[in-house]
Amino acid sequence: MEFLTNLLDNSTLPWLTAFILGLMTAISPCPLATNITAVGFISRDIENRNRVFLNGLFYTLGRAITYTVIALIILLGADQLKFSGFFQRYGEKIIGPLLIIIGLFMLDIIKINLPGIGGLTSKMENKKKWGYLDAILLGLVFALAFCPYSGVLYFGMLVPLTIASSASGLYLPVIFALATGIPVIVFAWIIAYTVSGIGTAYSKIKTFELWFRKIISVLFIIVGIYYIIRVYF
Amino acid sequence: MKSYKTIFSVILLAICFSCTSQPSAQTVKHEGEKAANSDKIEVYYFHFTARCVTCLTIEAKAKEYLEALYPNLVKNGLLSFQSLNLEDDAVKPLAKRLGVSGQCLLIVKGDQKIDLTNEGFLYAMVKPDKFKEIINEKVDGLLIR
Repeated sequence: MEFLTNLLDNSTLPWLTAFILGLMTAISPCPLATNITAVGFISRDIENRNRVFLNGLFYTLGRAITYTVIALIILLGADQLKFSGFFQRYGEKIIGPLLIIIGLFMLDIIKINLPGIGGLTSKMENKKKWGYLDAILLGLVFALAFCPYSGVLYFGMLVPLTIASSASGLYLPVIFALATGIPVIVFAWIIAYTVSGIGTAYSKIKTFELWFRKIISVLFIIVGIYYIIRVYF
Repeated sequence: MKSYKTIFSVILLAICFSCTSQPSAQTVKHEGEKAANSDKIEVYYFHFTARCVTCLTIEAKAKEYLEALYPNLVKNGLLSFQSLNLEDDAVKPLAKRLGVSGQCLLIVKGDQKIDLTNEGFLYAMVKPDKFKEIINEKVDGLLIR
């Protein structure tokens, strides 16, 4: 972290600053719980490593949409202070219950046919139809869950940097999002690579995947409970 | 007789409400008066109920450095540090007056405001000496003016 802070101090290029801020957001302990959940979610298609990589890219795209839209709204004249206050106040309060609901969906305990949110037994044709929408949605929502630290890096540093460059600076939130997504993609890919290797060796990749998805669903619920305890108690 | 009882109950209730609401109103007024004193330097750390490790470190370090750098000012009441929860109703009027809606570290002297939130989040954990240096520089700047 000290290395990144030094880099940030010496950075004169806006894109590099945005990239470092994104990396700092990704590796700080503050959003760690959501990152672990995201790694699990992205790597759940362990049977297909390319799909894991694409899941990661679409997850990052979701984050980029959120970060860019917020920056655009502020650029168009919304009150930056009130906006950031709102997200800092409610972001973490919403994420806990939401993670539990997603976890229950994934375990097929709650059954509603929603596009993109597939349960454990979702059929492959359904998956093909909706493609990577679930990964995009997860990125979109997780980016909204600003914790105090990421809130300051985004609203206090990245947004002013973007506004200073006016509309042409809107590529900066995309770079920021990319940097927040890179560590998640790398970890997800490493997990998928390792687990699928073990699974293939025992020719039981299907069983592996089913169990892996169950573990991830439980992980969503545990992290959701963690957030609720942290924020409400 | 019944109407007397009703009037008595209403008066009693009114007294109770005025008793409970007065202290917080006084606190807020007191805060406002203090901040309006142009000789005094007020350092505010605004936060929400849920806090991260960095947030707690910023508060602890800022308080520690102010006390270490300006012991006499702190002792004489010319420099103070307050940590305030934005979810506390009594804090809201002061936050509104200072234009604060999210967590921040502010140094206030009269109508001058210095926002050190970004510096706090960047340096309090990894480069505490630099954070101390910045606090020193900003407070010194306010003392000269």
